[in-house]
Amino acid sequence: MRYLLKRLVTTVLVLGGVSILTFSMTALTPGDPAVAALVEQTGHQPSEETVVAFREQHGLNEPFPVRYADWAIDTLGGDLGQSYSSEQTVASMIGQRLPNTVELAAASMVIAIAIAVPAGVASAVNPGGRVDYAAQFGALVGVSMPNFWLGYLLIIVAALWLDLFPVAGSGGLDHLVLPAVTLGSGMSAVIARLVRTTMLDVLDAPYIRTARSKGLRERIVVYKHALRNALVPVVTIAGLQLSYVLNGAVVVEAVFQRPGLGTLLVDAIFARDYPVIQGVTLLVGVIFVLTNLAVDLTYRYLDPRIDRRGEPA
Amino acid sequence: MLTLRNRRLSRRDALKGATAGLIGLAGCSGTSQDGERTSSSEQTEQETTFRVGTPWNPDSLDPLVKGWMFRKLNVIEPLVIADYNASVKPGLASGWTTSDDNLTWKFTLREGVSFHDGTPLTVDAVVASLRRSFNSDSLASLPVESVSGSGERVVEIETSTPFAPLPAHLTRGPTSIIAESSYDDDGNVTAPVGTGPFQFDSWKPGERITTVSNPSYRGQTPAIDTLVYESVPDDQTRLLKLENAELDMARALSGSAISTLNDRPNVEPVTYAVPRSRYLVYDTTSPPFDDRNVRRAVMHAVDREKIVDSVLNGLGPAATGPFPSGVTNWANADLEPYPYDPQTARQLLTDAGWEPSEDTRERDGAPLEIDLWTYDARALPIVSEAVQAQLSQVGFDVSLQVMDYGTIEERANSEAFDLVMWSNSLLWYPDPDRLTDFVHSENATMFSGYANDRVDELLTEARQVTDAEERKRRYDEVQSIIQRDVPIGWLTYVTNVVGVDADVTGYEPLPTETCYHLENLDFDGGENASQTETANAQHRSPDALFRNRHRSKK
Repeated sequence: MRYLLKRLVTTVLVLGGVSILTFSMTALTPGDPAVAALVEQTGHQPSEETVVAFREQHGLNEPFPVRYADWAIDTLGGDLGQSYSSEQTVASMIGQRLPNTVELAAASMVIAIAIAVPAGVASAVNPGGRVDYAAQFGALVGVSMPNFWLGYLLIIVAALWLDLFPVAGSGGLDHLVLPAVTLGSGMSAVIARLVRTTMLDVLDAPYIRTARSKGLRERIVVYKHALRNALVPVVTIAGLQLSYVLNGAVVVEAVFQRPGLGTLLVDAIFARDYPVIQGVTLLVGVIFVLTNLAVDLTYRYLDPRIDRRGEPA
Repeated sequence: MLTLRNRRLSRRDALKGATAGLIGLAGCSGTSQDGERTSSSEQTEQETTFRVGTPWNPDSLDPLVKGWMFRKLNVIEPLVIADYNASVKPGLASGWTTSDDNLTWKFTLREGVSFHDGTPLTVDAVVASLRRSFNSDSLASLPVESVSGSGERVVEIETSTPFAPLPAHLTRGPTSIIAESSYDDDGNVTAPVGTGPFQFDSWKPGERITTVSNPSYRGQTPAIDTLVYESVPDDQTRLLKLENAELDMARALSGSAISTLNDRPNVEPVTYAVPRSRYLVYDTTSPPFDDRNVRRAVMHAVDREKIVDSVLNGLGPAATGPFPSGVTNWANADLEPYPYDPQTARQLLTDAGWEPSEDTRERDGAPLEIDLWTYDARALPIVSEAVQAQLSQVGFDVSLQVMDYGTIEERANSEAFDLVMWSNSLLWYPDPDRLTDFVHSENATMFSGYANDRVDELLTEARQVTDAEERKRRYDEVQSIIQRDVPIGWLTYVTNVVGVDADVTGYEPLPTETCYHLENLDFDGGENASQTETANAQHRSPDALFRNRHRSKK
C-alpha cells in the first residue's frame, strides 16, 4: 500500500513535469496559433483584424506563466479546455478518438505476442535449426519494414487482390485486422528476439536440468518451467513497446483512416492547437506511467521473489 | 499427469489454431462486409449511397467553423453562390441592388424556399443568421455595419464604406443561412439546418458526415439518397478505397493517381484547372530582391513549362498572371508572360550589379545566396527543388528549407527573408478584390512588403465602384503593374484531380471549389451498376458536361 502511494506521488510529479515541458515547447515553436487555427477553420489566409480578435478571445496575448497557470488550474478542476480550431472540448475530442487507439493498441499487442512467443520458443528449443533461422529472418524483416509500406502492401494484397478485408476505415472487427497486423508485426519481431534470448538463458539453468532429470516431458519443461521465468523481461519490453504502438499509430492511423490519438496529436501540433497538444500529451503521460506501474506489479506476480523495489531478493 | 498431457500444446496445434482463427476472421469479415461494400454508388431498391473521400476532417457542425465543408456538400446555402465562370449568381437571394452611395445593399429573398425543418425562409431567419455570421472571427474584416429586414422579402446590409465585393463574400460558407432550430439553448450548433438539396443526418466527429437528400428541395431531387462525406487523410488510401469501391469519389488526389485511375475499369479521373496558384513571394524590402531586376531575372530563369511537364505530371498549366484566363474573365488577357530566357536573366543580374564569379554571382564581394522557404502541400517542395536547380544555372546559390505553414507565416511576417514558395486560391470568393490580399501596401496578408501608391489607389477605387466594366479596367491595370514589378512571381496554376466511380455521370466540377454540386449526379447502368462495370464501360455515352475528363483507357 505504501509502495502504491509512493508511486502515485511520483506519477503526479512526472505529469506536472511533462505538462510544463510540453507547454514551454509548444510556446517556443514558431508559428502563430491564431493564424494556424484560423487557416484550419476557414481554409484560407486570415486577415489582420481576424487574427487580433482571435488572440484576444483566446487569451494568447497573456505572458507564458499566466497561460500555463490558467491551464493547470482548469486541468486540475477537470477541464482540459477547448480546441482552437474545431471549438470542441478537448475532452470530447479525446473521448472520440481514444477507443480507436486503445482498440488498435490492444489488437496489435495480441497479434505481436501471439506471433512472438511461439516463434521465440521454437527458435530457442532448437537453436541453429531451420525453424530458428526462419524465425530470426522473419524477425529481421519485421523490424526492418516501415509501417506505412507494410500497410500499403497488406492493403493491396489482402484488400484489393484477395478481397478479404476492407481497405481502410473503422468500425467492425474486419477493419481492425490489417492495421493491427501492420503495427503488431514490427513489435512481434522485437519481442520474438527477446523471448529467444531469455529462453536460451533459462533453458541452461540448473533447475531445468533438474526438471529434465526428473524425467518430465520436454514440452512440460519448456512451457511450464522455462517459459514462465523467461517471460519476466518480455513483460517489461512489451510494456515499453506501448510507446512504439503510440508512435506507430500516427502512421498506421493515417494509412488506415482510423482517427485516433496519434493523428489527433500530429494534427494539433501542425495547427498549433495548444489545448489539444496539452491534453493529449498529458493523457499519453498518464498511460505511460500507469503501464510502467502495471509492468512492475506483473513482475511480482510472475516472480514472487521480486520485492517492492523491483529487484530480486 | 493425464490431464496435463491432454492440455499440452504442440506447435502444430498452435499453427492449426492460428490458421483457423485467421480463416474465421476472414470469413466473418467477408460476410459482414458484403452488404456494405458492394453498395457503392449502386441502386439497391432505389436507395443510392454515395461516398466522397477527402483529406479534410469534419470536426465541427458550426457553419462559422466548418461552413465551407457543409457548403461543399450543399447542405447549407448562402444568399449568393459562385457560378461556373467564377462569377457570382443568385443563391437564396433572387437578386440585389445597391443604393446610390453604394453603402446599402438590398437582397431580395427567393420565393418558396424552406429549411430542412420545414419552416419557411423568412427575412427574420436570414437576418438572425447573417448577424451571427458577421459577428464572427472569420468575417470580422468585412466593413459590414448592420443587417436588417425591410418588408416581407428584402434584407438590407449596410456597409461603412462602399464595398463592391460584398456579394462575392456572401458566397462564403460561414454566411450560409441556417434555421433557428440549428442551435441548442446555449447557442451552439447541434445540426446545420439549411436549405440545400442535401440535409444533415448524422456525423462522427473526425470521421464522417452523413447527409440525406432533401425531398422538398425547390429544384430537382438528387439522384443520391444518402451522401457520406468521409475523412481519409492519406492520399494513397483514398485512391485505394476508391479502387476497392469503398468510395465513389476521391478528391484531392495527386497527379500520379491519373494513370492508376485510367488503368482501372471501374474508376475514372476528372481533372480541372482551378483559380489556385503556386507562386513565389519576394521580400521586396531586403537585398537582393529589393531590386526589381533581380526579381525579373528569377522570372526569366525559371522554366515554368518544364516544371509542369517534368515534376507536375503535366498538370499546370504554367501561370501568366494571378488568374487563369480560361477560368475567369477577371484575368487580364493582355498580360505578357516572362519567357524562359536564361540569357536575359543573366543580363538583368549583371545590370543589378551581381557579377559572374565561379559558381555563384557576387556583388561587392557578397555572394548571391538566397533562402527559399516552402511547406509541404500541393507538390510545393518538388517544384521548389526544380526552381532551385534552375536558379543555380544563372548564378544563384539557393538553399531550400521546407518548414511548416505556421512557421513560415510567422517568420516571413516578422523578419527579413528572401523567397517563399506558396500556394493558395486566388478566388475562394469569386472577386478580384483578392488582389488586395496580395499586393496592397497595408492590407495584404502576403508578406512581400510591396508598396505602390497607384496599386493601392486602384484597389481602393475598384472596391467603391459597382459597375463590372469599371472594376475590371482597374483590376487589369493592377495586374499589369504587378506583372511589371513582380512582387509576386506566378509560376503555375493548379489542376485538381478527382477520381470517380465510372458509373457516375453529370459531375461538373466548379472551378472555385466552393461546392461539389453532387445533386446533379446521375448513374448509368441502373441496378447492380458496379457489378456490370465492364459492360457499362462500353456503352457509356459521351457527356458534354464533362469538361476535361480523361476518357482514354489503356
